[in-house]
Amino acid sequence: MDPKERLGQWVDLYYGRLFAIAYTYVRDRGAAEDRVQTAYVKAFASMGSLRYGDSPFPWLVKIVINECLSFRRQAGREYSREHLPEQTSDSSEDVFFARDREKAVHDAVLSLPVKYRTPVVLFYFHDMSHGEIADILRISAQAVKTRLHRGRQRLMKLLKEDDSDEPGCPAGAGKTLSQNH
Amino acid sequence: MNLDVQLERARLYHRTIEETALRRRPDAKLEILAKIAANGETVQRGRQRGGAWRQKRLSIIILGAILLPLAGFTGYHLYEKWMGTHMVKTAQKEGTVSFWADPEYVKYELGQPGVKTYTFTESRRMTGIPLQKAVRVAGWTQVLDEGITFLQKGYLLHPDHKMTLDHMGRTPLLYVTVYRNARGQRVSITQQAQAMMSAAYRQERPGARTTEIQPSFQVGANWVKMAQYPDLLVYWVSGRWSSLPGKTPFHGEYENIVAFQKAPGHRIKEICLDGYGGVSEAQMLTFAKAYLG
Repeated sequence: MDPKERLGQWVDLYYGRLFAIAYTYVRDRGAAEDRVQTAYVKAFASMGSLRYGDSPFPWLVKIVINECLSFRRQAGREYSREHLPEQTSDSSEDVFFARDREKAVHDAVLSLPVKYRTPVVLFYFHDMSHGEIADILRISAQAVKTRLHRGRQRLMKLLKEDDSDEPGCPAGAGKTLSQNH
Repeated sequence: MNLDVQLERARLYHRTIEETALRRRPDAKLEILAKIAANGETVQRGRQRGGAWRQKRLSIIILGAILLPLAGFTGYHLYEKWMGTHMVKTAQKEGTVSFWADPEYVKYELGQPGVKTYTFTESRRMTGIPLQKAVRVAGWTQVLDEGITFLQKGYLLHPDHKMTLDHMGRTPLLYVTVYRNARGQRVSITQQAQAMMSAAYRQERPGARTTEIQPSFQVGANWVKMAQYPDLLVYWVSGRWSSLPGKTPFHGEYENIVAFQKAPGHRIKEICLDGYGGVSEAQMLTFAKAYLG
């Protein structure tokens, strides 16, 4: 198959998933699109390094993450994005993305430090295995498990705070979270 | 609320972000290829162990999406807009084709690692839409009634017909009820929250021709809109199904009623009624009455 056709298939198959992953880093849809497109261009340039039989998706994820980290470093945005909410104040998408519970939990995941956020996103939203995540992040599978565990703990704490801030939230809602872990 | 349940709901939101990607930039592929052309089209041959991707003729087959009609269409010729979603009909001769759709496979799929099941209450909470539990239908036995996130597998089909697993994912939560009768006929009811359609519905403005998100639900030329449900959008399709797309194209025929309903919280609920093994129109309508009213 022609490399361009191959790349075209990867765009059809993975563009959305890679976009969503990039979005968890840059929190801006336009920037996420640019990062994913750049990642595809880089993937095309190094397509030969992908071993026959290997799944391209984890490889593409790795390129996207590297691209996002590089972008953030270049843009000097590392300092504060970690704890900022999604930047969508002027986006018309917010009109229909009602701030319901799905988004609130998603926002909580995105507010995790990148160290914990990436394993959580890849494991819970993209069904990647500990081994695949370890390969992408260049850490051990055990380290992935540890980060997932700590990420969950932080997430529960965040959601508990979120629940307690919510007017009309039934008493003890936060307790349920911690009891269920 | 259980953290896993909350994460599952966040996953639904994450999925809407995925789904908006190509809608926002439908020409993404062309843009990427243009950038590649501008870069001089350099492809490193690198370590091409075991054969290069470029030298192999591979094609992609997506299996999975159980109980959901999958179709490959060309030549769109008609569409209607409903709550922000474009319902596209096509003139494709092949009609609607479903892979791995027979409820018989649900049992097999349930045994696969990674498949998760949920109770009615959990499913209700996770989908955020009203669900209907199994009902009694004379002559039919309920054999399954639970929420399931199935595995979705993408396979690479090699020139020598061998298939290798390319990637895996999970479907959104589907609340699945399966009935079987003494003649071995099967009917499955699948209820789910349609994330993409819900997003379009929330964005829908009266009189607006398009929305920023423009989901399209592709239906075959052989689909018929059912007028007897004025409050719902309901199509009837007669399709063909196959469990082994790489070898035998079709195994049999199935009847499908797919209904879309506005649900509280500006959500769209999809209800699919699938009949296999020669289920009659009257039998299908019996189930339709039970689930659609």
